Amino acid sequence: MSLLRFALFYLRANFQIALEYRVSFWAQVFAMVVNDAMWIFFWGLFFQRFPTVQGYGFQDVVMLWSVTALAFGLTAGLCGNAWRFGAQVAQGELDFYLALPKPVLLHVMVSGMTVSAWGDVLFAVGMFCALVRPDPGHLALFLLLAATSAAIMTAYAVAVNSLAFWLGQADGLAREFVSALLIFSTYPGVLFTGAVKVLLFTVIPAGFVAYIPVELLRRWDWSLASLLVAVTAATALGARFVFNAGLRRYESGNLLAMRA
Amino acid sequence: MSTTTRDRPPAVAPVGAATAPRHPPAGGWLGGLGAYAALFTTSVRNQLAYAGEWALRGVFLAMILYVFLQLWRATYSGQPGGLIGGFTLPQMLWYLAITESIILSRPGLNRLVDAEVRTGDIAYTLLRPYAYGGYRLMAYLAERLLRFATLMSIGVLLATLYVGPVPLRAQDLAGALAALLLACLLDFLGAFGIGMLAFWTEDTSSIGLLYDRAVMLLGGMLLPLELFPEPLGAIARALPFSTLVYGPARLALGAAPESVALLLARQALFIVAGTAVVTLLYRRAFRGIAVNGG
Repeated sequence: MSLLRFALFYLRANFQIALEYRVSFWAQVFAMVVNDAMWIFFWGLFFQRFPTVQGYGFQDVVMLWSVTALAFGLTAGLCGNAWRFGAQVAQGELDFYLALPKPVLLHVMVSGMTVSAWGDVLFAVGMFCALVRPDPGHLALFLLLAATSAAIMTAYAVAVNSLAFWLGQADGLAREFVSALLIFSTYPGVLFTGAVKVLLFTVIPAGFVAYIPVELLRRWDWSLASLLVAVTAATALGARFVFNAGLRRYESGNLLAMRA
Repeated sequence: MSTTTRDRPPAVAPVGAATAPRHPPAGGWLGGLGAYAALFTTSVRNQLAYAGEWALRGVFLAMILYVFLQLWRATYSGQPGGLIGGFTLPQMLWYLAITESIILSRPGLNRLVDAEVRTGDIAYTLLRPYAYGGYRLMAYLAERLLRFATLMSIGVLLATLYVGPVPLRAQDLAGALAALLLACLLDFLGAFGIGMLAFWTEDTSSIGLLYDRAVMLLGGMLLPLELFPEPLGAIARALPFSTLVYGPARLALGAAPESVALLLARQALFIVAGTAVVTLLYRRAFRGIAVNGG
């Protein structure tokens, strides 16, 4: 409970910092909504010309985008630093977290917020309600599945940023891994087969972030849902293990810094 | 959600008070031409130090082209005749390889200018024998041209590997290269102008993001403009974004000879208009800069 309070305190502080520049905050949120809408617009144009691609239609892509955007928005909004702490590791800037009596990983993750991510959240929920027109049960399922996707995404971000503990300057590599996840999560899974499909359910878990949740939204399946829950738990534990293993290799940069 | 991470812009206002030049550097925002060859060469050398980053961009390009290949392969399989919008599948993938290389080679100029304005670093250029705009243009061209050459080479290899070669003519490629050069200048004006807005606005990153997306989608990066429904296709063709991406890519794959002249003329027109706007912004911005010794 105290950890939840701690995370909520950081969330409030991050919002207070962001809202110091109110125009900037809303401009970033609005721009992200428009950005996402432009992608859906592209898919609208595409499916207007080609109504289905291997059984996938416009509404399926809307669900794919809604789940991925909401998951990304939640994780980058609540745990923004999980997506970029690799640079801090490389520069030996984790000392601040090590000196305080809170779990290091949690503290690292919640100590940053990507402002524009709230645009993704607004867009995803708005678009899902407007274009999919779900009943309350379906909407609740969507939110639940997006939460599991967010958990997997966060774990993935932690794992790829933790590469910096072993490789040093790995933020570029981490960015590419993250880009790969986002790209593959926003295109229909039916397009990929063979070794690539295996890759999308292992190294780049777009299958668990987007394809399975959309499949469950289209047609509920208990065994698939159980698999998703198990993978979510395993990914979270795996990421924590990788981070902690990496942390044992961490070397301080002996930097003097002030956090206000 | 974006595949590029954008950090919050620094919040320190650049404009101090008191003394300093109350006019843009001599020669307007481009300044004289003397020092720029050296700036270009230095920028090329700087860029060559980032080979690792380029390799990662190559991986990204390979990934996105693979995704497009799968998408369009599935789409073409349902199309009788094997032609969509006048493109065969190999032509479509080559088109996407060119447009992706154009897009991925764009430097994050507006963020850089925004940061230099907010931190006040822009004031240092007042002391140097060149204008800030000219300096940024040289750095932009060096980075852009090197990146494009690298990415296009990777793109050609990947497209050949995925779908085999397509017939290309030397005169089409020459026209496309000329159009690409003008497209770079036009894109520079757009991104530089947005960065300069940092003098007056709290946030330019969101304007930059919208500009980037307009270049990608209305520019025809994902979908050739032939596939846009009307009147949207006509609107997209009329906007400057199409001359940044679609125009050069379409020329490279073969277009009627008059299209080359028409595209170059339209680009020239947009460049003149863009230069007028950026010059106005630049003059107003530099009129407000003040530097206090130190």
